[in-house]
Amino acid sequence: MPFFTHEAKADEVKAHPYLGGKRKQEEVRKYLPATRKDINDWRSVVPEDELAALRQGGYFLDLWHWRAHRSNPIDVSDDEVIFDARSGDAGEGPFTANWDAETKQPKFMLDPQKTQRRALKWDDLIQRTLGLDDVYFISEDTAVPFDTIHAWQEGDTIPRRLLRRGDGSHADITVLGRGLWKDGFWDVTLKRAMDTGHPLDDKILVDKRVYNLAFAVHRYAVGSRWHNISLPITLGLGREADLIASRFDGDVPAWDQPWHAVTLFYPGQVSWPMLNSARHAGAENIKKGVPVKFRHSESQLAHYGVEAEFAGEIRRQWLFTLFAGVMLIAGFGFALNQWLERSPGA
Amino acid sequence: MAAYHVVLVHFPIALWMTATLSILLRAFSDGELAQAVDRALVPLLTVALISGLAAFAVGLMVWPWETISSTPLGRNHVLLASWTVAYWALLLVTRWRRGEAVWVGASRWIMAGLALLGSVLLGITGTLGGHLVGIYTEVSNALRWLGWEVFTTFYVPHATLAAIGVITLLLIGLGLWGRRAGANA
Repeated sequence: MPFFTHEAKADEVKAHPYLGGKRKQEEVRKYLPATRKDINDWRSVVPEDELAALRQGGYFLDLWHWRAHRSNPIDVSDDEVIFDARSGDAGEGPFTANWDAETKQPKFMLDPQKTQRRALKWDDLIQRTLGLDDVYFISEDTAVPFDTIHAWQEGDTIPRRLLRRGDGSHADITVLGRGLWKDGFWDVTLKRAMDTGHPLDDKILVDKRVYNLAFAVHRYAVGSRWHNISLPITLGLGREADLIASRFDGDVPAWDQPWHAVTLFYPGQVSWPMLNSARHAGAENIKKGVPVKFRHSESQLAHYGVEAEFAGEIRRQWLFTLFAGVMLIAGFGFALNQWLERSPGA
Repeated sequence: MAAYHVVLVHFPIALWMTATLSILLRAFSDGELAQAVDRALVPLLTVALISGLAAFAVGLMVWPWETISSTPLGRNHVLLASWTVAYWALLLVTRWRRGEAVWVGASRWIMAGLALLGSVLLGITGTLGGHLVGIYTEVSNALRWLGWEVFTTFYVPHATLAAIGVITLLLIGLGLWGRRAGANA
């Protein structure tokens, strides 16, 4: 997995005929177990006809990926899928790289007629002086081609991502109202049709069904795997579950349901192969289908996740500590015995 | 082997707890009952140690070494079990080698303190074992309150290991000094 201590090398991924060749992957992203012949080997992708059959059978995770900067400013969310790799749904996503690799310069700058500027100021970003009503992003509505002959100044800053509406299955999710940052939290409501018409990319939501959900949140400007996650919770559409969704009339729900607090934790470098290996005492329980909540709490997993980052080092230090303790007890026993008077009857 | 381990651990737990009560009785009393109980202490501690070693050995067979040494709770259980067995072996050797002299003067209070400490070690070991099979107690919260989160591996840094090594050497030196002093007396 990307950014794991022992992640796969990019060259090896690019050289893989399917992942690198056909899927254009440069790293081993999240994938589901049945897409591999051997869960311990990311290279062992099952044949493509098998992949197609799995996908047709609904074997994938639907990932709703809202980002504060890369999608929220234009009131949309990324829509992704996890299958043989994590990737976007079909169509264009809500952002693209604003960089021309050939000319080594941005493709677009801010439209001075619409935004009264060509670029942002570095100091404004660093000092966090911009608010949600200021110009702090560049989108297809505010962009014009990059002006190479403009007298650019030190500190002129053009965002790396160009935001766009997107299309197709990739653009199924929008922000209801406006996502707002207030008092240290984002208040965001996502909206999507229950049936998007894209059953190979999205989980079609049906009344009276129960679905498994999990949440992941990146905070403090961290990326990649440094996020917090939740344990799975159930969502019932008009059925008993951890979260019960009920129908409402109008455009906006009243939000008068009881709150459901979800505990998040940092998962560390814990992978599915590791959980199914001899390094995990619960591997047999996984095979039996025992839910993680049955044996683990979030606080327990939070500690385990951090320890997993330094598994080898901690195990070595633990062994040293174990033997040091035994030696201390032995030394104490030796000293104690030599100083106690021998009993006349001993 | 998990079921056998669970069955076997009841023996050392019961026997060492009985030994603790016996030691406390003898520490506080020179009466006939206390002396009679004390005469049974070495056999009691011997049987307890044998059953403890058996439970320890079977416990190591519940999971492969790679498994038990990869989980923080498993590591903590093995560590505490090792210390508990070693500690009670120390008490057995002391009472066996030094006989009734352990009840002379301040030694009896040392024995009482050691027995209580041994019971604490035993209790923590049992608590961690309970966690491993999914049975939780408030002892974990007590340990957490004292500063040790049982879901994290107990280990000490190199500096502390070095300090433990130095203290161990000092204790051995102290013991040799005591032996020489006894021989010259």
